[in-house]
Amino acid sequence: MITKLLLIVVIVWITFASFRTIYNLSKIPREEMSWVRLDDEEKKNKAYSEIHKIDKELKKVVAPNDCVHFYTKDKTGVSYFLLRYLSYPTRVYWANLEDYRNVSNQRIRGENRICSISVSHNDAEINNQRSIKDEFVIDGARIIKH
Amino acid sequence: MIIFPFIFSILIGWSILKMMRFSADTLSILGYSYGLGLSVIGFQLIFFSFLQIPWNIWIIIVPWLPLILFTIAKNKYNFKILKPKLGLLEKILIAAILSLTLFVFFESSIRPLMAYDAWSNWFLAAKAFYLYQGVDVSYIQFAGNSSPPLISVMVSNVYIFLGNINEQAGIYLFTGFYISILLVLYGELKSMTSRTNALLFTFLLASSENLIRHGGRIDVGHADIILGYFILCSTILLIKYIKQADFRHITLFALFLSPISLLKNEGIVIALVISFAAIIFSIKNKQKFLVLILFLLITSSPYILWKLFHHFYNLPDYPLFSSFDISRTFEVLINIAKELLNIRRWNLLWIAFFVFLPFALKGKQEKAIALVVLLINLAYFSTYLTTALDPIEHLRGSLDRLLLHTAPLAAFLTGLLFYRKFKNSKLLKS
Repeated sequence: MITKLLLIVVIVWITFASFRTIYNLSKIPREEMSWVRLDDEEKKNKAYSEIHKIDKELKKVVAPNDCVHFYTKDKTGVSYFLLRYLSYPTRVYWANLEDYRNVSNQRIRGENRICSISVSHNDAEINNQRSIKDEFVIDGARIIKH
Repeated sequence: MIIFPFIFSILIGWSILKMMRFSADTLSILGYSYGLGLSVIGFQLIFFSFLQIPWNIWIIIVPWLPLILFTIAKNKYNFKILKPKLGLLEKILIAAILSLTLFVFFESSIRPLMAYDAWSNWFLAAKAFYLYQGVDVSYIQFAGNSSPPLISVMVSNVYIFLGNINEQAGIYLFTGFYISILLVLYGELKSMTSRTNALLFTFLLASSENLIRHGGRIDVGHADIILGYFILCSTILLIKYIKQADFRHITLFALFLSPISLLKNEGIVIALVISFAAIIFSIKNKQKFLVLILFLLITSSPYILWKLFHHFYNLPDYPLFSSFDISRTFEVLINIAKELLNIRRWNLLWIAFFVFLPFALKGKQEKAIALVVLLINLAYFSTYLTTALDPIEHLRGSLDRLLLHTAPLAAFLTGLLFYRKFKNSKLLKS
């Protein structure tokens, strides 16, 4: 009885694994060919959408050794961490991060840093009092020079 | 040449294994060599960084060249290509495993980096360390990054070899660990059971959606598959040491145990669990207990060095723990059970593991593997009772990744127990 049960479990596992394999392979023509046809720039546009565009604009306007204060309504951190990765070595701080629980987050907010660029993503409010020299709007974001 | 850093890592690992006269199936040696090579280069780069020596390709290659050249010269007549006679079932299984491996490789080639942890941590640190040519303390302060550095240093090593920040090559590093897990699992299961059984369980593990996702699909770039690899290798080497307590096996066990604590924050807990299992079985077998303790202390030295560095530069700490809350137990258990039964992510891997688990009590080696899997998962269970975050939210966002750490080992044990139970079947004979 127990031997039969053990065998049934493994047979069901093999069945699921086989279907999973066929299903995964079928994704290549169904879903993945849309990625294959794209070049690197198009892939980044598709995967990262407006964050990639913000990064490209920042690369044009941020001076070496300068930093960026990023304001976003995205509380998951995806927008911030992606922009921070793409823009590095430019240091991007999450200026309106609400979670103060630990020192790491206080560092991520960049509270004592003076940056000459602020970015408002998804119409997030920019709550610093610094004067604005110039500003322009791109898809999904407002970039401000102080 | 995008493949060059990986070939060089394999050559280093292979040379070390040959120097240690480690004998195992050729494919599993290839699998062991990959992770061993990458981890020793990682240690080398971290050590150079502590000494303020800036990284470049020559300081990686030159120290290893004599060993590699000597090993190649010594083994140049030892390469054999075997053509085994395969049955139909074996051919089908090999075709399925190769299809899955090619699928994972294809998936890792078509998308840019998509994993959250990769952007927020591993690949960002790799970029920063590469640009700084060392472990950059000011970057760690800026990013509020509390993770140990080994994974990012491994990715930096790939960038150093290629001379630029090649994200695609960094992604392939993780795909390499998917393949290496399968190679080690196959080779070791084959030597302990039969070829058909080894192929069957390699296929069953290879087709787990969660492993595929971390090997090359959406989740590639998370550190967990690398942790899964080192847990698998170190535990298999532990059971070899239990069987044959000699200098060679304890050294190899230590070489694979040592990187674990520098991969992720939870790595130190895992390293302690595996060390605990080693001590228990060493006492039970009346083996040389003091030798083991000495090796475990040597194994922990890179972690101690990192902690001193961490303390000296006042680097950020891991902030997730608060007090122990026993009232969460039931809710946490229910959600863990849901994840274990999640067929979309695991097929029947965890169900089969628990169904076969009682039979592990019969063998010494099987008991050791079961102990490691259960204790690591017990440690994760206790994490959810102490987390400072909402426990269920934390669990839903992390448990699938934590279970990946022990999934290859769980598949290995299930394969072992399945064979013990059905070894008289004609299908498993070859």
